Amino acid sequence: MNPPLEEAGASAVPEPPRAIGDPPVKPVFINLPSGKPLTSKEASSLIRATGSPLVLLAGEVGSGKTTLLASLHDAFQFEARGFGGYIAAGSSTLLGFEERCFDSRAASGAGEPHTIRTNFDDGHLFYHLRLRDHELKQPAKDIVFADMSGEFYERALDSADEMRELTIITRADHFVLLVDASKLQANKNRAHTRATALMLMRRCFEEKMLNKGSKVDILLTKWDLVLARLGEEDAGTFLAGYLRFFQDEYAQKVRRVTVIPVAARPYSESRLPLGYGLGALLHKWLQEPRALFEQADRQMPVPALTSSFDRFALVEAPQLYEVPNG
Amino acid sequence: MASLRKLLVIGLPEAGKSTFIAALYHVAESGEVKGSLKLKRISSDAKHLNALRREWLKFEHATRTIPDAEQSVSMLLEEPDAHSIGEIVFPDLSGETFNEDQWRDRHWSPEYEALVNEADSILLFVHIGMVREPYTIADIQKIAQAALPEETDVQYRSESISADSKEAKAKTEAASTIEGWAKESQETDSIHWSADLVCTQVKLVGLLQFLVPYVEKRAPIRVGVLLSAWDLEKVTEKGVRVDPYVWLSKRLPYLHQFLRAHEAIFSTQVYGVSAQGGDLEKDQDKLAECEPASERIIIQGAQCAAHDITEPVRWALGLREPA
Repeated sequence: MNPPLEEAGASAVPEPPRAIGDPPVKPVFINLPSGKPLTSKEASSLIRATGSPLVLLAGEVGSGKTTLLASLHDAFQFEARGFGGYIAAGSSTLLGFEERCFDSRAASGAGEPHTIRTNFDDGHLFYHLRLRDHELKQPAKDIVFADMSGEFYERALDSADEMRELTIITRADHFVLLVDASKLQANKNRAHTRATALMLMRRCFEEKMLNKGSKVDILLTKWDLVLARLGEEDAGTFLAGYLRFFQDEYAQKVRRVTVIPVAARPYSESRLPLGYGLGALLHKWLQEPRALFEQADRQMPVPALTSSFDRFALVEAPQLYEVPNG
Repeated sequence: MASLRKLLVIGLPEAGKSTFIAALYHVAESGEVKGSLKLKRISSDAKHLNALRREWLKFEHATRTIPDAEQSVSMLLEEPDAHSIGEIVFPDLSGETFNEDQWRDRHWSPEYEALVNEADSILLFVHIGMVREPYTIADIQKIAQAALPEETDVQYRSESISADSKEAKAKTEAASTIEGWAKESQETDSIHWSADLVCTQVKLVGLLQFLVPYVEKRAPIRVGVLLSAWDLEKVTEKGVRVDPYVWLSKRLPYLHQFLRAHEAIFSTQVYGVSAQGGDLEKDQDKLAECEPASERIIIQGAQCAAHDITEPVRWALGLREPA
């Protein structure tokens, strides 16, 4: 049985200061879990308690990382059957998801949907879903997503040191690279978008953040726009080309690589449903064995333990790190 | 003799909690509904219950319970065969306690925590006319395109709009609410996110999640979901309303999923209930013709006899099963 959600956060509000001799004051309120995105420490505790996989969303600014997260929450809001063969069994980060979804909701009063981008100053944010198979044959499963601003990745492109700071990449069970397919398809942006994606992957390999044990999913995002521009047949050819391209590049370098077109939040006239492509991914992330249980031979770098992600990784998988004595 | 039984009553503001208690008290005390639970003895302190009942009998809206006026009410109930089932306690808490203290401000009082620890069962109220939907901007754009086809040139419009015309109709009905939001937006430039603006089903899941660590050890705990203002649900050509369970699955699918996923913790039964029986302004003359007064009550759900608003309590307390 999974441990209860949101248990860890409950604590009494600290007592206000009182004068010597005053009788003890009972706390007026008892705090409940915040519902906001988890800190690295909270995420670590949750992962340890539940054995949930950690999915890291990577990609440049505007590639759709936060929109994908918001859609994973939104996709469960509209049908009793849930989404992708799963039903929602709760979340420790409901408020965090809702805030991310708000600007795509009618309640926001906005004319066009968009998602609040994750700021660099937000640091690293973790979101949690608890899901159960629709048939109720298995107990509920937990999954944790790590989101951070695309600026982190842009800095990592410029600096090996910055890349080595992102030790969360070595810790993630699934490294998910989001590439804006609508830019890949457009002549003006194609070369830059492809080069940036390839460079990020290369940097990850060179700094040993990814290796032969890694599982990599390359998501071609905003697929609805590609379909609208090219039509189904040409979009299929476009996809097949990139499937071959990425397979040729990475199949020998990682445990497995998949290339999947997704449309997390299709534009209103699109025939694609909300969360197109994400159902199968969710299933894969939840069903595949976790990296720690199948990769005893992974070669890990020895990072400088300075960032919050380092601390997170150290707590989560101390055996993978050489901690300096003293 | 059975001892004290406690029902935890949960609901957002104006969800119908107090009106339900008023009608329940009337039915139990008056004995007007055959087969209902009955009041064995009037409580020594019946002031709050009597006030609620008086408003109900006079077709007045129940005075909203405000945080400072929260109190527990208790009824000593018995089965129709005079078998006592003991004293049932209903904390009549304000919706703000749930919407603001718990959901928005993320805390509850030690007294409420004690209630959670002691509760035998839960009654969860949802006003079907006050559901905040999670509609996306894309949904609204589709509705607009469907309404104004000549102004759009949409390649996939016919495929993208739901084939289910009933669903489209339901969304169109909801459009008036959304227009209100849009108007609000124009007046205020933009609406900033706050926890208050979260849709109803997510809030209710959030409130239930808080309970899980407390009730899990004595699971399953019964949760009666009461869909209040059930008179608003249209009667079909066959003369019946939709099954309340089906309503829940269609209108609050996220809550429905959560309850299903946690069926080992929350044993759920869904009821449609209109304690007032109709709109107090538009339908008052018709409601006043009901004789006895309990006949204005609408209740729908498993094993519900006509007008027997005590049935959800009976189910929640497990009184249908042999001792």
